[in-house]
Amino acid sequence: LRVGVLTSLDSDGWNDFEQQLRGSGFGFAVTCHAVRVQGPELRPTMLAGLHWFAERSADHDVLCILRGGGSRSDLAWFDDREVALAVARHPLPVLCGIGHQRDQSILDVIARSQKTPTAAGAWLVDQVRAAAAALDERRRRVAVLTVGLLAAKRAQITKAAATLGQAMRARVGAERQSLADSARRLRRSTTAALTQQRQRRDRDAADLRRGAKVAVERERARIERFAARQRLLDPARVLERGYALVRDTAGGVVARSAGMRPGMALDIAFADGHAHATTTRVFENQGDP
Amino acid sequence: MTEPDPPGGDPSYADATAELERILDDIERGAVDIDVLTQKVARAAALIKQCRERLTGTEMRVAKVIEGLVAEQSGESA
Repeated sequence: LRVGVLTSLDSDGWNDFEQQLRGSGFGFAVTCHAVRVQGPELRPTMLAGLHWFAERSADHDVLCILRGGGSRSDLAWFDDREVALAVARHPLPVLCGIGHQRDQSILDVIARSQKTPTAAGAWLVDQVRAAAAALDERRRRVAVLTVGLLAAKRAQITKAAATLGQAMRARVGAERQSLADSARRLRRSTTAALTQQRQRRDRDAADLRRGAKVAVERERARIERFAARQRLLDPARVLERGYALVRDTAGGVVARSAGMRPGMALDIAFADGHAHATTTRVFENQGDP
Repeated sequence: MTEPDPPGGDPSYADATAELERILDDIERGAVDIDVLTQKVARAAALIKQCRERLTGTEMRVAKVIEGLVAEQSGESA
């Protein structure tokens, strides 16, 4: 607490007040401005002091006016109209600790009043202690609320994580199922395509076999026709059947009787050999039968 | 039935059949001298033998190729 003090620095009242604050254990920042606390100098010094603190009101929380015990006539100097007005208009809350238990001045009526400087100090310490206790209580409540809030948030996060995990598992499961379905479909369609392909190739192979067989058979038949013709044309077979081949001496084939003369030498070929012969007579067929 | 000339100087199947047909036509028309006739007939017989062998060989090779196709297929389906 930042405390401004108007008092006489060598008074017992100041010492009592300071002792109260120091003994409290709290950190008070005390600024003391010396004033006269009796006699004709009280008013100007007191007004100057009040003015000084009014100008520094932002740096202080409370202003204390202190004076220890004295005779009633000594204390009467505090019952000053201007001083009372300045106290009443002062921007800082003013606390008075003037005189003994039984004394009461005008200032005691205007400002917050404690009977003695010691009581004023004790009151300030009580105020600070109460504020500190309230602060502690608030801190404790904030801590409790924070812990509660954190627990709630943690529970919320845990729940969200669980939900997320569940959703992820469901999604992964669905994807796995979908993949398995795709694989099954792929397998089915591939098998079908392969079977189709295989059947087509079976047909192709059968066609090929049939086609090749037909072509070979056709060629074989053709060759066999050639063979039959060749057999028919083979002169050796003709000779074997009892026919003979007649040639003249020059080796030319004599296929007709026309042109043949008696005495003409001939060579007659058989299947198993040949013989030389001489023409004795020539006969010609008498027209077509 | 066109095949490249096999090694050993034998004519191709197409050439062999063409020659065979020519020889037989010539003999039937009587355009062949009797001395040459025997050689021509022997040549025709040789060509017929060649063609028969060529056909048998072709048949076997075709059967082998188709057998290979079928075996390859049953190997795939296993």
